[in-house]
Amino acid sequence: MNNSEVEILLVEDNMNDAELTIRALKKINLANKLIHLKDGAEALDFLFAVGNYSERSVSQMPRVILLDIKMPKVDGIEVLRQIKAVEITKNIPVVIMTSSKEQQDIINSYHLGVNSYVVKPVEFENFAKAVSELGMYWLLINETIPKSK
Amino acid sequence: MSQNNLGNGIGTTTNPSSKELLQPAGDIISLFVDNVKDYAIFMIDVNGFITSWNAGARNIKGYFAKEILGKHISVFYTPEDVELGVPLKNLEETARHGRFETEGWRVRKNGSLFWANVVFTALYNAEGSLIGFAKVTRDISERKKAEEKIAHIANLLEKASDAIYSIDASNCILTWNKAAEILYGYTRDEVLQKAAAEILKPEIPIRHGTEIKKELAEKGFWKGELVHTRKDGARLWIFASITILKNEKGEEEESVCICRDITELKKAGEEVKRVNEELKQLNNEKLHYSLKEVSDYKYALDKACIVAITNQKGIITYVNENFCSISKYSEAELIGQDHRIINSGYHSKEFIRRLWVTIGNGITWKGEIKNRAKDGTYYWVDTTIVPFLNEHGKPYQYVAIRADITERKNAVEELKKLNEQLEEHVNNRTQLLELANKELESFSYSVSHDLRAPLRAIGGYSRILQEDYEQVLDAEGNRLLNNIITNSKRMGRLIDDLLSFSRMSRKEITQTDINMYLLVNECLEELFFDKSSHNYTVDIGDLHACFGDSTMLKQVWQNLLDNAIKYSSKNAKPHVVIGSNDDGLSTIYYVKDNGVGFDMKYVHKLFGVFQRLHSNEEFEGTGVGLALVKRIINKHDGNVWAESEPGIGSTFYFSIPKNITA
Repeated sequence: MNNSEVEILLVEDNMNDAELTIRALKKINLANKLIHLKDGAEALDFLFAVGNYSERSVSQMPRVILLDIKMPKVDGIEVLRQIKAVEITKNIPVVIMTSSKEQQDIINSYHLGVNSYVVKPVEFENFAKAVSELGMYWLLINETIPKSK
Repeated sequence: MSQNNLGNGIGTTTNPSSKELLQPAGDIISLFVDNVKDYAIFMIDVNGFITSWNAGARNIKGYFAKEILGKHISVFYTPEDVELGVPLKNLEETARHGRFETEGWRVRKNGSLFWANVVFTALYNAEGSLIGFAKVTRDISERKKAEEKIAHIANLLEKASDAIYSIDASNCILTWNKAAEILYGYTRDEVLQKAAAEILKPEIPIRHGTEIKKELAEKGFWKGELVHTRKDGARLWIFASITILKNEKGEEEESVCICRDITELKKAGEEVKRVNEELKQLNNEKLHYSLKEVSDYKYALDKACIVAITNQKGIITYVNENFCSISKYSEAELIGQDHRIINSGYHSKEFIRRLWVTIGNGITWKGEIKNRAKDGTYYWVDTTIVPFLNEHGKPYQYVAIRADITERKNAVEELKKLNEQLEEHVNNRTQLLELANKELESFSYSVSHDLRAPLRAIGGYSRILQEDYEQVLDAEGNRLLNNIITNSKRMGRLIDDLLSFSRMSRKEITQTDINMYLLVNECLEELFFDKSSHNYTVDIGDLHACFGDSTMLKQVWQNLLDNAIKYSSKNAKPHVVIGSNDDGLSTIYYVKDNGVGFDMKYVHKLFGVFQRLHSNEEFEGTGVGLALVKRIINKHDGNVWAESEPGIGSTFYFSIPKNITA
């Protein structure tokens, strides 16, 4: 997969959840240009083209970021904060996908400018349905700012 | 009197004696007559003209001989007598009888009047023919006056209101006036010449009698009170004045007594005296009683209370034993000291100032005061300070009555301390509880995140297995796989319910007025959204509004209605009745179904967490719903209970207290 063509950036430390998410997206053919990163630190390196991703061009940004909150090293809230604080990344739609229904997490996320907050359903059918609807919405229905020429 | 004299004169007069007097006397007699100075002796002719005049006539009448000789005797009469023809009548009378004596007013030359005794004598010649009259006149004005005076005095004595009587030297009654008759009841005739002592029967103590005699002998006069006896035997109180009258030889002739009846006065005086005595006696008794009462009160007060008296400046003037024993000062150490000697310094200046302002205004002050004893220990007294006011309404002293409340105060202090300790305990516990809650919150967070993820994985992979390998597995393999999927779903619901139960427990309630009818309808719409196929009958009765947390109460209705629908789903004609009653303090809501019901012996398990009365195969459920209902209703200070009969149905009730403040 070519980094330059990333459409969905999935940041998820739980491999099971990641696999189920990818499977759901695959079923509707939206997983072709998906990259899965396992923690917040790696996500930030990727987005800002530093560390392992220093050779990546920052002009190529994903069309949507699916972000878990509870992750090792840098958590999802911090990742969201940094994304929304920087000009080059702040317009990327960020969807928080988490098991947490904690009010504080929801409030913090919206304060930081999250575009959507989704609690992962426990039941697989509902989970798969939610993920596919999210993918459809953000990649097919929603219009983002056109990319600069 | 003059009539009598005239009568007497007529009786004694003889004509021959007059003739004898004139004829032999001759010149010597004429000389004698001329010089008599105390009698007016003159002669008049038959017609009444004056023919001779002596020195006495000049003295008495004021005329000289030359002035009066030849004048008519009428000039000596008053105009009234002349008018009546008295002069001639006198002469006619004399001529008829030879002599005529009369008394009457006569006029002097200067016009003044005098009372005269007049004797006319007819004069005859040798042949017996009337030749004139001799007239002898005496001025008896003084005698007349004296007689009138005596008559007047006798009259006065007779009419006096005081009894007046006289007693001679031999103690016989000489005179007795009208008032004496009335006073003593004896008539004058009954007492005259009788011994006074027999009539008056005086009660005179011997010593008193001696004193009276002595004083009478020395001064000739005595006055004082005596007791006499009336004719009818009644005692008479007399105020008597006794005067001794002596003859010219200085011998006691008679004594005059003037007596006034003072019996009534005396009786009244005795009565006044008696009443006064009685009153005095009574007052003494009363005073004695009052004094005793006051001293009894004081004794009682001293026994019961701590008593001190200060002057208006707060200087101690009195303390009782109780005061000394509690303050540990002796009486001598306290008297004259400022009351602040027992000041503990515990009370604020404002507190003390208000106390003084109150009693300074003459108002009784009550309160609790902490004082300091001599040994430095403190004691509490329940104090009443009563200002004693002078006639101007200003306090002149303060009486402080106290009761020792140290023990009570200490108990209160102890209680306060215990309360503080308790509060500290509670605070500590609360902090621990809050800490525990925090831990629980983070635990919940972990559960929600950490348990859900693997559960989703189990469920997810099972579904993938089912989707991708259904053909590979045999029937038993698929059945087992199904069981895994079903159980993972169930566990998901358990976790979700548990989390919402724990969130509810921590949530603060926010109360507003709620339209329960709308709330119930909202719940029913949501519930029947999926269950439209069922032939349910739902009756909604009267639903009173209530004051509570609408989000929480919606969960209550959701759970109860969901249960009612769920457990009556096997009835051919499921029927749910919803309504409310009012018991005055609370509103009681109920949900009644005709479902399977339950045995009342398990009712105690009904509202416990994870407690179920039906198997999962019969009715799905996690056992959290009713526990949640109970917790919410308890948060509203209400109650929840149920009645049921297996096969008939169940009724679930919950009560919400009315909003008293609204």
